[in-house]
Order: sequence, then structure tokens, then C-alpha cells
Amino acid sequence: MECKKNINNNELDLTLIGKFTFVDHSIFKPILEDIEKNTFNNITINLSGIEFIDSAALGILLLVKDSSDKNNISLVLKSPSGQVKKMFEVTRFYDLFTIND
Amino acid sequence: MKPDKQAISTVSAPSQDKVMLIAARTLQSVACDLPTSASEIESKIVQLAETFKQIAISTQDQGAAVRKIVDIVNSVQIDGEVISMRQSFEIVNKTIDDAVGQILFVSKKAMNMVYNLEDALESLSSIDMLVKDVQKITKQTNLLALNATIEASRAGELGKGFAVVANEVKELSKEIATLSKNMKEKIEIINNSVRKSHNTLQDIATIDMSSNIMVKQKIDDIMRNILTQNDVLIDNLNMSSSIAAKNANDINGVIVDLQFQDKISQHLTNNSDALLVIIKHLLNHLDGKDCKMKIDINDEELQEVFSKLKLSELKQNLTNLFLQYDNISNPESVIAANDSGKSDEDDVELF
Repeated sequence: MECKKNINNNELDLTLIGKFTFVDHSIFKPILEDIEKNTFNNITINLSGIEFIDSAALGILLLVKDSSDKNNISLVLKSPSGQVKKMFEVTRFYDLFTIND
Repeated sequence: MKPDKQAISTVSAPSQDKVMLIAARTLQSVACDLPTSASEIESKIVQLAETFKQIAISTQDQGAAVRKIVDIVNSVQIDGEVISMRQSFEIVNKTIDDAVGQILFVSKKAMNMVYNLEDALESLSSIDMLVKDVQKITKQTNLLALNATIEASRAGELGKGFAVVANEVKELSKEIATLSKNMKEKIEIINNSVRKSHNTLQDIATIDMSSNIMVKQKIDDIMRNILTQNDVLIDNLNMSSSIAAKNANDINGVIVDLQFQDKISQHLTNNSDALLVIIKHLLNHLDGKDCKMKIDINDEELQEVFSKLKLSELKQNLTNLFLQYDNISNPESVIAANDSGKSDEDDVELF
């Protein structure tokens, strides 16, 4: 998976492209550390380029959410589609996260 | 009113009287037949009412059977408890939701553990570097102690006490070297275990559960289809049940209507009685003429009457009346004529 990172003031924009699976956990390690240091106020993760998401990746997103909640950071997931959207529906991610279609 | 056949002389009947006699005998035949017909109708109607009653009972049973099917189709039995299809769908849904929730929980915890083990490996690597630093310092301390021992021996008697201290330092650095070597070995063991755990966890976390999660959607679709089909089936069964109830009601209405058949019987018997009175007066009038009329079998009016009587039984009744009371010419041919038409004219027209 490719991850484009854009930091503007206290806002972190992540644009993910490709398949989001377990192997991508290393991309999120520094991000999780930054969240713990309360570096950002807002995080937006754009998922429009993600064609497939596995259960480990869902676990990573849940960890990002827990950390964000703990540090009062607003987290928004953007534009899930196809398999990702279906997975979000089945796992009730729409109730847990702020998701902008 | 029975006239004596032998005593009365035979004369040709005047046309009006003849017609009147034919009319009287025809009426008499019809009037005599009416009570029999009425009684036959009555018995048939009683039979019909009984049959309808049985149909009404069967239709009600059919309705009850359909309602029972609705109950069966609409429910399932789980652990001896009867619950509706919709409830069972909710149970299945909740069970799958729980399973999906557990998969997510495990995925989150596994990823958390992966990150924690990576942190632990990093910390172990730092400790390893620190131990290496300690080993470096120990080596230098050892060299220093060696140098001190050499310098102490040069100083001779004065350096004796210093040589003891230098030796102690040397022993101390040896112990630290052994200790740091042990520490390094222990760190290596821990490092290996953590790395193994990390690899195992990675194996577990990379098992993709997404297809298991998507099972929920498939089951959801299947259950939704089953429920829709069930609803259609139940609607149709309910419709069938209400049609059966309506039919039973209609049939009961028909049975009530049929019970008024005794009124028809009374009418027919009454009419027959009235007709017989008229006939009696007519025949008395003809008897008063004191003559026995001769009726020809080929008589036009009589043939017309016979042609209208389709049933041989009625023809026979009329013929018998003529044979019994009147002077009819060629009576054998009358009987033969009646018999010849029997086979085809007696056929009952079926609908």
C-alpha cells in the first residue's frame, strides 16, 4: 500500500492507495507515536484509493481511533468504496467512526 | 266417480267433450304425479343438504389445516422453545454480529501486541548496546588494574599495599566481565523469545478474517430471502384459509335455503289437491252426459299431449287412466306406441 502524508498546521491528511493489509502496520507505527505525543488536532484518512482491506488493517484503524479518542483528536475516514465500504457496513464501522462518503 | 265401463253404451264423442276429457285425464295424470315428484324432490334435497353439510365440515377442516400450516411455517423450534421466523433471524443476526465483534477485538489486540513486541525488541536492542558499553569499560578497567600492578611491583616494598588494591580492582573487573557476559546471554535469550513471539503473532495477525466477516452479509441476504418468501407463503395460505371460511359460510347459507324445500312440497301437494277437485268436477260433468266416449289413439289432440310427455312413466300413467276409465280404441297399439319411445325418450339430460 502507498501512503501519502500531508501535514498542514495541526492537521494530518493521509491518502492511502492499494491494498491495506497487515504488512502496512509499519506505516502506522510512527503515526500512532505522533498521536500519542498529541502532535495533531485533526486526522483525515482518505480511503478512496483502497481496493481491499483485511481484518488486521481494521484492527490498525481501531487502534488509531482509540489513540485519537484518548488524545481528543478528531478522526475522519473518507470515501470508502467497494469491498472496504461493505466491510465497514458489516462491522458497524459507520456507528464507530465519522465516515464521510 | 268411477264410471261402469260395461254398462254404458259407446258413442262417438262430440269434439268439445273429447277435448275436455283429454284435458281432464292429462290434468289428472299430472295431478296424481305431483305428490310423487314433490316427495322425490324432498328426499333428493335432504340428500343434497346432507352432502352440503359434509362439504361445509370438510371446508372448515381444510381452513383449520391451512391455519395450522401458517403457524408451522411461521415458527421454528430451538431447544424446545417455539419462536417466530423473524425472532430466529434476529438471533442469527446477533450471533454473527457478536462473532464479527470478536474478530475485530482480536484483530485490534493482535495489532496492539505486534506494536508492543516491536517496542520490546527495540528496548532489548538498546540494553544490548549498554551491556556492550559496560564490557568496553570493564576491559579498560582490567588494563588499568594490570598497569597498576606493574607500577606497584616497581615501587617495591612501598607499593605492596597498592598492589593488593590493584589486584582487587582486577578481580572486580573480572566479575563485572562475567556478569555482563551473563547479561548479554540472557538478553539474547529474551530477544530470541520476543522475536519468536513477534513472528507467531505476525502469522496470526496476517490470517485474513475479512471473508469470515463478509459471511454475515451472505447469511443476511439468505435470511432476508427466506423471510420474504415466507411472508408471501403466509399471505397466500391466509388467503386460502379465508376463502375456505367464506366457502363454508356460503355452503351453510345454501343448506339454510335448501331447508325451505318443505314449502315447495306443500305448494305442489296443495296444487295437486286443487287440481284433483277441478278434475272431479269436470269428470262429473262429462259423466252427467251419460255416455261413454270413444277416444281414438290417433286422435290429434291426444297425440299432441303424448308428444309433450317425454317421460314414458308419465305416458304410461295417462294411458292407464284412459284404459281404466274410458273407451279407448286399439289399446294395444297405445301401449306399444308408449313402449317404442321408451329407450331414447327416457334418457335424462345431464348437464
